[in-house]
Amino acid sequence: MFFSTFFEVMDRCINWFLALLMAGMVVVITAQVWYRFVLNDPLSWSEEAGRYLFVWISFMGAAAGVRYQVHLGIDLMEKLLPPSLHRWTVALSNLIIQVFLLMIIYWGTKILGIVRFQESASMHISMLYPYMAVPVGSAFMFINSVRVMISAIRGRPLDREVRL
Amino acid sequence: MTAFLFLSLIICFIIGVPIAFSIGVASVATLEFASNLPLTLAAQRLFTGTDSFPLMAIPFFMLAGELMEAGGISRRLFDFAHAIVGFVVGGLAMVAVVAAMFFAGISGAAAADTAAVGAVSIPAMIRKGYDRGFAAAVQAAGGSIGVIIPPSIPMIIYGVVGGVSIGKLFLGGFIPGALIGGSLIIVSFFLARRAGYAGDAFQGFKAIFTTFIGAFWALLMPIIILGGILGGVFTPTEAAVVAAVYGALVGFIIYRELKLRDLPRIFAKAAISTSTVMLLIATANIFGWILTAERVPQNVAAYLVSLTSSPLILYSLILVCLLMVGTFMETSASLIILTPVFLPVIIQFGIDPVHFGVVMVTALAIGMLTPPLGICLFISCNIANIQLSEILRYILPFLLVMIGVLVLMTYVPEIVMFLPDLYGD
Repeated sequence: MFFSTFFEVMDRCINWFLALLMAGMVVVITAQVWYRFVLNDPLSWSEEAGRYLFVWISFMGAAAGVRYQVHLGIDLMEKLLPPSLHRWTVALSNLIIQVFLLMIIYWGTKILGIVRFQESASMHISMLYPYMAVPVGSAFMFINSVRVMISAIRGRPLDREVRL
Repeated sequence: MTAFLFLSLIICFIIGVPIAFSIGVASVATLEFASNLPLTLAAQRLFTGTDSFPLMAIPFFMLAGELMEAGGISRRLFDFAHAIVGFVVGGLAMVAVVAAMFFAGISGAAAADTAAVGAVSIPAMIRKGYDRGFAAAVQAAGGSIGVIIPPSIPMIIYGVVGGVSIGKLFLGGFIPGALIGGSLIIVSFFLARRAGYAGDAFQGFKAIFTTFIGAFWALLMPIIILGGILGGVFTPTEAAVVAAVYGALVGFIIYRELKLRDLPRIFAKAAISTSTVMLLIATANIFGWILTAERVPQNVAAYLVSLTSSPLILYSLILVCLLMVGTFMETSASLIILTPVFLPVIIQFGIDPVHFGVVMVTALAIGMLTPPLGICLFISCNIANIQLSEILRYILPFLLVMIGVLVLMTYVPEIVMFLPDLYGD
């Protein structure tokens, strides 16, 4: 009971985070268009800011995508096997994903030590902040993959309604 | 190393690991076990794959489509199409196709097109006594036009991966999209006549005018997008953000159906749909790097050149390959993996990359109508509340005419290239 409430709150937080990043990206790029075409005074930082927001959206959105199971695969096993066996291939597939993600978390964290001293070209922020999206997003993907795996083994699939 | 890469990829596919992760797993496993390239570079390439300004057009176009949809646009497009063609025999089926063509002008995804228009048209057809399987099949076929008529998310991916002008690709999609829409309308007319589906009463020219006013703001959107890109005013990404803001303004101010409290959910959903594509692009960025290091595209090119020197035969081979891949693989994944492999050969044979891009996207769009992985079929079946087997009987004639148009546009390049050539460089 505690766990399900905890994860529900986590889902909502991620969804809100995504909505805010998305709104931020729209505002920044709209401002870019506005300043260039209407005020004739192009912004120097908008493209870079938009890109880094986009990187965060990509990896945090991918984490939400793992939970809502929207990353498509080839459902050969689902067609061939009865549900009682199919859930074990779901578990296996999630285990493979988890090993991959652990490696990405490890190497993605390691790379932070190198890029933290680099500065972005136009905003002059440490490249640590955009690069952090890779290990942080992968960590949430890992957590959600474990949730999907456990719910599949227990035969109680997670519902797929995106809630805020 | 290449063999290891592809073997692990296929094993992941068979187990059912999502394609984006399969590509990542195969790449990382290859780097770990079959090479001495450092893995920090894998993490870095995940980042650089998503750090792209042109690809940002994807979330904005998704958002524009979602906002328009929440603003009640699909019903208005349906009403307008209904006023124009609803009175003909099998009218509702034609309305479904025409409305899907209109919606294709504001949405860049076939799934969104099928879902948005289908939610209105499929229940309407069923109420009118159409067979559920037929109703679902018409809508699935019509919805696949969503990626052919601009804007188009697959064309953005192709343009970014292959370094081809997105504006020209968009222009190239117009005539093929119209041709496919036209042939779907003709097929549904004959099928409906045989089944005896009558049309509704003609509502008069006044109805055409009033429904046109309702649909006007949505129909204006593709003109703003293309005009902006081709006039050199906007980059495709900027045009996409203008489309999203425009969609929100129309929904809030003109249609008044969009509510402020709907926004966070729409934004979050657009972000999640975007990230499914972006995760693919990120992991494919590692995959592609290994392929390049192993000179795979060059080897494939050399092999194909050794097979034939005729562009027509080469095109036929690639077309068959794309249609087969399209049946079991998702469109963005196919584009990301196959574009870098095929494009060098295509250029070597003197085929225009814009022409090839539109042909490739159309071939993969046909794949959305074929099992095992036919996204438009799934969505349509879901709305019509039927099993996949019930739609398959009806989808075949639509598939055949679409393949017919595909072959035509492949061997008569002017169909695709007329508008981009008119626009010039």
